[in-house]
Amino acid sequence: MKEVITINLSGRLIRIEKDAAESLNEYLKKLKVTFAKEEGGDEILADIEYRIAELLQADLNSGAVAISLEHIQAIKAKMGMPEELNDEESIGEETKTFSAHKRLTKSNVGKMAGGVCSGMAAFFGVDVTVVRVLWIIFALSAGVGIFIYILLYFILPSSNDTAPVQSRKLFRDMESGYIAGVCAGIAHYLKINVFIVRLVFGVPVGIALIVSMAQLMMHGWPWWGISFHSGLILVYIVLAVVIPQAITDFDRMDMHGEEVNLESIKNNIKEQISAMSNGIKTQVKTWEQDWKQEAKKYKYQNKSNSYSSEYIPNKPNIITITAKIATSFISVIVLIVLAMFLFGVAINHNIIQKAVSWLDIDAFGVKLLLISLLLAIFAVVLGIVRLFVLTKQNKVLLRSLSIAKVLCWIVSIFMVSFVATNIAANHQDHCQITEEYSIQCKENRQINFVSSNNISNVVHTNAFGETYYLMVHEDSLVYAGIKYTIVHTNENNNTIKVKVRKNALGATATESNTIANNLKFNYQTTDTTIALPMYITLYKPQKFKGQYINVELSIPYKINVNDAIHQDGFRIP
Amino acid sequence: MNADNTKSQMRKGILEFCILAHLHKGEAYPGDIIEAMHAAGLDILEGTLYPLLTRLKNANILTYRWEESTSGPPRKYYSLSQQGKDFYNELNQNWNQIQIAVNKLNK
Repeated sequence: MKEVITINLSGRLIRIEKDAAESLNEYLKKLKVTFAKEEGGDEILADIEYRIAELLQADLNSGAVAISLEHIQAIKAKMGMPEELNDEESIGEETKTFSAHKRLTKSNVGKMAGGVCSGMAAFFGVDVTVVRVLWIIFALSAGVGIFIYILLYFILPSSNDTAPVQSRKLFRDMESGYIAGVCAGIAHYLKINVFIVRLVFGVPVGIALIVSMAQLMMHGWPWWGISFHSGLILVYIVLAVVIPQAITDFDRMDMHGEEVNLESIKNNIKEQISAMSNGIKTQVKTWEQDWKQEAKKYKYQNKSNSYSSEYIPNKPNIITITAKIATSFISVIVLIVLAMFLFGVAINHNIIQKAVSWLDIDAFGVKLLLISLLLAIFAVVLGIVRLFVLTKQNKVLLRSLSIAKVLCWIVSIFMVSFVATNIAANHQDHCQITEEYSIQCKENRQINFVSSNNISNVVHTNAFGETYYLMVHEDSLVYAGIKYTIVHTNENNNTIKVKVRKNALGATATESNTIANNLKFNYQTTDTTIALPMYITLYKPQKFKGQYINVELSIPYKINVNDAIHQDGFRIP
Repeated sequence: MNADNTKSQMRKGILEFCILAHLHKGEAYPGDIIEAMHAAGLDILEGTLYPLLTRLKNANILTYRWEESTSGPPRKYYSLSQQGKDFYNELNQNWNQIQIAVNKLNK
């Protein structure tokens, strides 16, 4: 019994046996390579696909239950093999797999920039997208990748090789995906359950959101230390941009293809590297044989794998159910956090507006952030709407919803990262200025520490009943940015040493230095009293640029101090 | 020397002209063109037709329009542009000369 699938070819639904579909896919791929270099190659291919679909439809109309291999053979004979169609270019060895003579080259087929990635993909026998993703990760880490890429571009010879023949490809699967289908695509490629991939992406992001929410409630309003763990979100976005979407049924077949799995990729790379280092032909031969055996083994394993993965929907196991519950749990939490955040913003928008005016973001940046927030909300709404369009019948609607959703996410994240980069650039330099004072005290006297700027109404209470000190005015910003540390020394004198460390951030070293210098630390002394400031006060046009002061008080044991001084810090009297 | 090879060379040489000749009678979609050629006794590989159509279209010899079809997705209907008509007339003259010449030589 043969498996029959339905494919969408040029807008016609064709019932076709699976092996026939694979043969047709292979044929179309070869044609694609043949016409790749020609102007309008895509159009030619589309026309040919249209004609093939028309002929197959005719076969079906004349009584065939499903298209079989024989039908496909007839089509090939009618249309002609790629070698016969284009006499200008020689097609040649394209079912190349591993050979000892293979060279690492730049590839002209399937290239996006210089062809280095596609050349490497052909050499290592992995999907070109996987190579691209690795390059981008390299490029993002200190830009080394870009440099090496340029270097390789000049070093590597170019080749006229055909596209790497690869039976499984990394695609985004929009149909089973929630956001851009990245997780689902990776799951198909690695032949693992999609929920495992989602957990890998979702758990850290979920935890980060919960943590930042907690921070929000403990410390007050956003700029006081929200840290979205955005790394993974960024990775996701990069993947969403780089990985092509599975659009046609053939893409989907490639996506589910049978030959590659994680182990075989690993093995391929391992073997390639060992072969390169040995460089001896006999050695190469032995691993080639090994590889063939391994391949047989993996083919067998893959069969069992594909069997189990295909039937997962029918008999869900414990892992699937747990993963499913965990995923929905996380998404619910993310939604709740987002809703609470928005609620908070709505209630406190006056305070936030005032607070934001103290940050070193220009009005344009604030607007961009607001727009991106709205876009993100819109994307979530689109995602929810998409969930309710349950029937797979309205594919156009589903697809356009998905595309709109992804676009919203991408634009939103892009804007946020744009603003974030700007802010980061404005705060990249940290400056610390250390000043030392000494206060002479009379022997054996009780010293009282008091606050020099006692502003009672700056004490707020947060959701957990803890107090924090923050006052946002139009023209002044008062906050508890001074931290005291007490050290009791054994020195035999009457001098209290005050070490003041002023910290500030700025775009340049000069700027951060100026800002730190502008921080005032004023204290007053009388015979029995030392008045220390509790708050930092900023006046317009100063901006909040991470100014804080660490003060270390070294107090000799001879001096008695009041109970405002504790081992762990300074308390307001 | 392979006779098949030479035959296919001859076919290839006139294929472009045959397409234009058929389209000169009126617009047609690729399926029609192929059927007409088969009916006329000219066996061509269908795969060779599509690259030619696209090349001719890109050279502004042909234009096309989409037309809804009752039996499937919309079809591409090709027709000759003004430039294409001139091009056809030129080729047609040339063809007549060749025909006469070949016939004379073949006697």
